[in-house]
Amino acid sequence: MTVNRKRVWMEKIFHAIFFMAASFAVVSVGAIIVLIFSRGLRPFFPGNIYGTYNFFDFVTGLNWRPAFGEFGVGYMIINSLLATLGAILLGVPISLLTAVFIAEVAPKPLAKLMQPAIELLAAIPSVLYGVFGFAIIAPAVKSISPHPTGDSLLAVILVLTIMVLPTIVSVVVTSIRAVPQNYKEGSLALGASKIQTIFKVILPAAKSGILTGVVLGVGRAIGETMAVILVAGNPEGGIPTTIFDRVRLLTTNIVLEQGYAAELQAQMLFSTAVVLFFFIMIINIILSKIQKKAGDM
Amino acid sequence: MKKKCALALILGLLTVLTACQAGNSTGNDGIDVISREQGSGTRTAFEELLEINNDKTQLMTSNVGIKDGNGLVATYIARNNSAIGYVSFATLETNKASVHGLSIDGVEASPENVINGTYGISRPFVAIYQEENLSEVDRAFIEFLGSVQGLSALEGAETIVDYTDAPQFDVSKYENLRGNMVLGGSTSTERAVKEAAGVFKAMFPQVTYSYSATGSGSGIQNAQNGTYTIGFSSRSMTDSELENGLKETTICKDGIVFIVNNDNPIKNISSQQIRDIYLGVIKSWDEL
Repeated sequence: MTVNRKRVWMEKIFHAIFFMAASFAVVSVGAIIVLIFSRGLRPFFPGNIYGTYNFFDFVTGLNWRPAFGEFGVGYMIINSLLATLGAILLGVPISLLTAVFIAEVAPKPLAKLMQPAIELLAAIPSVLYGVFGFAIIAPAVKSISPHPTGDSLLAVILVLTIMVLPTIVSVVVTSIRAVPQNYKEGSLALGASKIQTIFKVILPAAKSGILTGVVLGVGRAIGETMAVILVAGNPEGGIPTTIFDRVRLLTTNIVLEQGYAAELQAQMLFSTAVVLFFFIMIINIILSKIQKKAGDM
Repeated sequence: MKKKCALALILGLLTVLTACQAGNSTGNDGIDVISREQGSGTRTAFEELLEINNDKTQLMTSNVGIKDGNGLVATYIARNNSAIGYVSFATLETNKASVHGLSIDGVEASPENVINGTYGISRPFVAIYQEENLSEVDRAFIEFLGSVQGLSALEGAETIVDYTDAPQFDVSKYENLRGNMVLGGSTSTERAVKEAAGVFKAMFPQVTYSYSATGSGSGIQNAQNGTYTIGFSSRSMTDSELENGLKETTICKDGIVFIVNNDNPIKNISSQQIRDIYLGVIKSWDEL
């Protein structure tokens, strides 16, 4: 009888431990959301101790000048979206072709070499990408830029492309390898060439995996801060008219000002975080809708 | 396959188009204007003295690159020969090999000229603290900074000091001084404070200190919330900051100098031209 009770008791203890570990994660996420939203939304409701700010002006404003009480993140939203769009437009084709190469086209020893190389790229800390961008990409952009500086939207896009590459490649390689062999064999048996098989049969079959990779890539690109802060330029206003113009992103704004912001400005930085959150949610919802449609194949 | 080719073609076209469209701008002869972040004391002094951003009619052009730290401005300009920015005297000294300072209206940016009043772009370095946060070590350090030995240590770091009525520091008053000072704040004051702290530590070997160069704005904030026992700023505090019960002591003065890359042949500039550059009126180097 004693053995049974001890076992039951041990089970209960372990259940409690697992529950606590799991709730740690849930509580953390909950705490982050509550903190950001409570501080970030306060300036838009009357009765805020530091003064109220109009929400519409906040999201459409094109200048960030705290000294004059002007807090417009409109231009930062546009900049973040442009940078992410550019990184995806450039990164997804390159990642797809790389993944196809590793999974299908490369001879086995080469594929064995490339896979860990790509994974290593994913392990490099973001700030090192930033230093790489500062030392190599920015001067290279400067040499073709009409402006006298390399800090630009283009430099940001290039750095972000390199960053999303390993994320997308590893997911797509896995999903290509998961395509049933008989799809490939059937296609080849019907007389299609290898390339035709890859682009017309395998990739469409791996569609949902590819979209997952894209979602992860977008999430990484829109939230990237340290890598781009050194090459973005961070001006205090203005939408880029060319890809060689300087940009300030939602993320870099928070980092630049957090150290010394006080009162209303500090709350406004939390509001910037709320906007960032909001956009990540929207992008994820849109992409998951596309995924559902594609998955219905 | 066709779709991907088309996509690549469109992308290439877009890039080429955007690049070409930019052909009507100033080209590589344009001025790359660099400024500091909002909370910087150096920037506040620069804006006050040159009357930029004082009201909505004199706004700094938004096409300015923002770097957060004196060192970052200097290293950026060292690698970009069309850039111009402003740093403290101490930073110029450290980076003399790759950048040079501009004289304004014919007056060279030097400590002597700040003292005799001909070079007007200067600001005080202040130490900021909450009275109740200070331990004995901190009080001793603040006293040291006002003494002859402290001032001479600060002077060694390219700042401008005023020796009038400065007392000699009496080491015997603080026997066996020990403790840790958590200092921090302006990137401009970093070198000067570290030099003085080094001399202070040599007198009291059991004292330790750390200095975090996070910017004047953050120095004032952190002095108020107690993160730093003494914060340092390269501008005096505003009235609203003083209302929070903070005390400030001016420890020395420093000048702001405009720097350009050593490959840039310009050595002198007028104050009106500097204003025009930062207001966005002058956009390229050949307009000077």
